Amino acid sequence: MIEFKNVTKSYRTNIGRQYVFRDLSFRIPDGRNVALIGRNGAGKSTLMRLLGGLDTADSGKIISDRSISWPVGLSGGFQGSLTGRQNVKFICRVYGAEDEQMRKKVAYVEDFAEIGKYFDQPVKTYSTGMRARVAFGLSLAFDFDCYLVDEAMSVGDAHFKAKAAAAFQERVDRANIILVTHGMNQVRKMCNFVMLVDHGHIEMFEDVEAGIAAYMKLM
Amino acid sequence: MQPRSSFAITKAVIFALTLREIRGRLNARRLGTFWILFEPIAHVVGIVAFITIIRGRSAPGYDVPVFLLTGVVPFLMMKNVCLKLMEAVASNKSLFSYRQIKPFDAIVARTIVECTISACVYIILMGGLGFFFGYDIAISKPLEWLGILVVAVMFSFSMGVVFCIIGEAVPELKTFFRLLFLPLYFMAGVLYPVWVMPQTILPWLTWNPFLHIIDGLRRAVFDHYPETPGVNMYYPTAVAVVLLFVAAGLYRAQRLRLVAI
Repeated sequence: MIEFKNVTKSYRTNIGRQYVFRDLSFRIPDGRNVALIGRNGAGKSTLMRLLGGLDTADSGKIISDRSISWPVGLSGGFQGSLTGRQNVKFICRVYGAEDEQMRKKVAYVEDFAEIGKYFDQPVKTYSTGMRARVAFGLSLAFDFDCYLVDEAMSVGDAHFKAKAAAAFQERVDRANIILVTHGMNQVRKMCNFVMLVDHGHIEMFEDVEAGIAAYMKLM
Repeated sequence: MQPRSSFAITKAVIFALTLREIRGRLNARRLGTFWILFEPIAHVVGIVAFITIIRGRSAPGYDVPVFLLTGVVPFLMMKNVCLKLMEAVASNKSLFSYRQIKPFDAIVARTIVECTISACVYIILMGGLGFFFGYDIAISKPLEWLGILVVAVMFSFSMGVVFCIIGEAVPELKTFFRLLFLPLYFMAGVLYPVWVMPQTILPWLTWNPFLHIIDGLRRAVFDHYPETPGVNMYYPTAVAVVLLFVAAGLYRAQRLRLVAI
């Protein structure tokens, strides 16, 4: 269960305070794989940042009893001069995985990323796809109740995409995803709940097709 | 995911950040470790050459290299703590996407790293002077010396946090803060004993907390170091405590803006 109670979020800009959400309240029931769709700039990423705890609301409460991941595929936190392995270990330490647990997670990421000897090279030598592989594997190495995916699956080659989708399918009974995407096929394949973000309002659809239809009407 | 206590999370994060910062600091340049040792050595060699060759005299009563190192290394430590903390938030911004990592952790980790590096530099250089050149490097009042170092770290920590938060709001001021350390260095009595300053200038110099700290450290290191009237630890301690509260207040007020990417 994830609940927003009267959440207001604004940003200060050069042309004054811009409100993304005013008094937003909603509740995502358990067991839903959520697709967040909407036009560019509608507030999808802001919503994601609020969910992930990257940003705080001006007022209101965000309540959840589940563990929520950092945005999956986030590779901005990698330090370029450190190797992939060292970066993975860093996150393991932050999340309290020590010794045996850390070894297991590092092995998992190494296996998932499939970048061979580059895993022990500095991250700044990686291509975007290789970074994404490591970052994605890193997110999956931890067992969260809820994974935030912000267009992360659109990078990488076909093999990687299939592998990422399979990894989520595999944990579908233990965990849920909240997916930001513009690809309707992905929505149909992976989600069973649609949240349509438009002008600071959110419409929820239990029926995926109805959600997609409403989204198409906005275009 | 195992739920952990807030303290356990902070501890884990600070430990992880400290390891990462040390790696980053030592591997930042080629021969990174060498440059860290080389900076104070260069100061000392330069100044010793200046005093003994150009001016043709030696500082009265003390071994010049030991005298200089007791001031240069702690001053560089305070400077580094200050300036590295100033950048602590800006250079770790991308890490705040992991919700466990807060700006405070980055600040504390950098302080630990800088203090550790300075301690190593001091031990290696002083050990070298004592072992290879036979200088007397004993610290005559070790507890007092450590106490003053605590004040020194507290002062530079608070100043670094204040610089950091101001620098986040007005990044242009960071250049000014960096430049600030050059005059402070020359006015802190790092390169000369405080008592050689004329009485007309001394009251002005004593506005500089670094001067009191450096002189206090030397008083603790050397036996029979002359006391200079008006130079004591009350002033820097008071400044450090006040700054610490200002820093904590500013941090509390700005903590959400610091995380914003």
